[in-house]
Amino acid sequence: MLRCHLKDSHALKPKGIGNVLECLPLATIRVEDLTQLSSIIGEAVHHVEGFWGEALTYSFSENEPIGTDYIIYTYRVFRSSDKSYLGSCRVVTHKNFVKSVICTISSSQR
Amino acid sequence: MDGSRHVPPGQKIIPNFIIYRILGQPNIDVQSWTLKVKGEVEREMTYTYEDLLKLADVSYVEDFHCVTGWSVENVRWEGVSLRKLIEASKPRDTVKWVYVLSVDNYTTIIPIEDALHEKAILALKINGKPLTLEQGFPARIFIPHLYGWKSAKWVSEITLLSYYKDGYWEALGYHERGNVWNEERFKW
Repeated sequence: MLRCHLKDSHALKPKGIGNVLECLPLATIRVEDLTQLSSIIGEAVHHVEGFWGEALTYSFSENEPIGTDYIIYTYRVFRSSDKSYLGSCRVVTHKNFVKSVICTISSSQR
Repeated sequence: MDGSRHVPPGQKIIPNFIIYRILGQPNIDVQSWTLKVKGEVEREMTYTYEDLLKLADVSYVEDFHCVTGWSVENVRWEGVSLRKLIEASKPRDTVKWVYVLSVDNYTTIIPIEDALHEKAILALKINGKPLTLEQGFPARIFIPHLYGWKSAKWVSEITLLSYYKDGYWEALGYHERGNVWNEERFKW
């Protein structure tokens, strides 16, 4: 379960990002595999679907270490109807526990 | 020093800088470039590159730490004390944050107490030479105890604020302060 809120992001406008969806887990989530992370992304994206009023799909893009204890898993988000790119979601984990999910939403796609 | 390496938690020494230009490489005309110090101050100030060269008063050797986990050791940094630049503008007592804007529209934010640290500088030279374009010429922030994303390159404005607002990486969840010794990589 995630608690999410959508915010404007002036700082990311140079990158073409208009909004950021910030989600924090309401309970401890231990990372098992990418499939499990996909369902977490799905829950986060569900909040954005309400924002757009249309179905979205997502796919794993990459993961990268930050220091020795953090790993960021990045997913790309697409509009289901025409597969156009809408933004990305990043799952921040610490020692294999989910700390946050941050989705960036392209300003041109609103 | 006992001769042993003192590396912050989660960091690994590598031989040279990894260059990041998240918003691309800006073109810089040093003749028209200026640095502004503004915001909640009594006196807004504008400096040319020549002004800053004359003000340069700090030189030391310190390691650079990137939040992704790499560090470069024993870098000589030269520049102007950020404290000197901030105090010249007579900040109001309410100031708590320093918001930095770069020519490429990159932004970051630094707590005022870290910006006033004796080793917090506007760097003009690295290892005895002017910054290269890739390293942020004509001027970049450097604060040894903060992760590198706070050391904004190609700086054009320093705005003193009483309130917090996200910069580029802070908007993506990275820490408000970013102290390397406390491993403040993310907000949560």
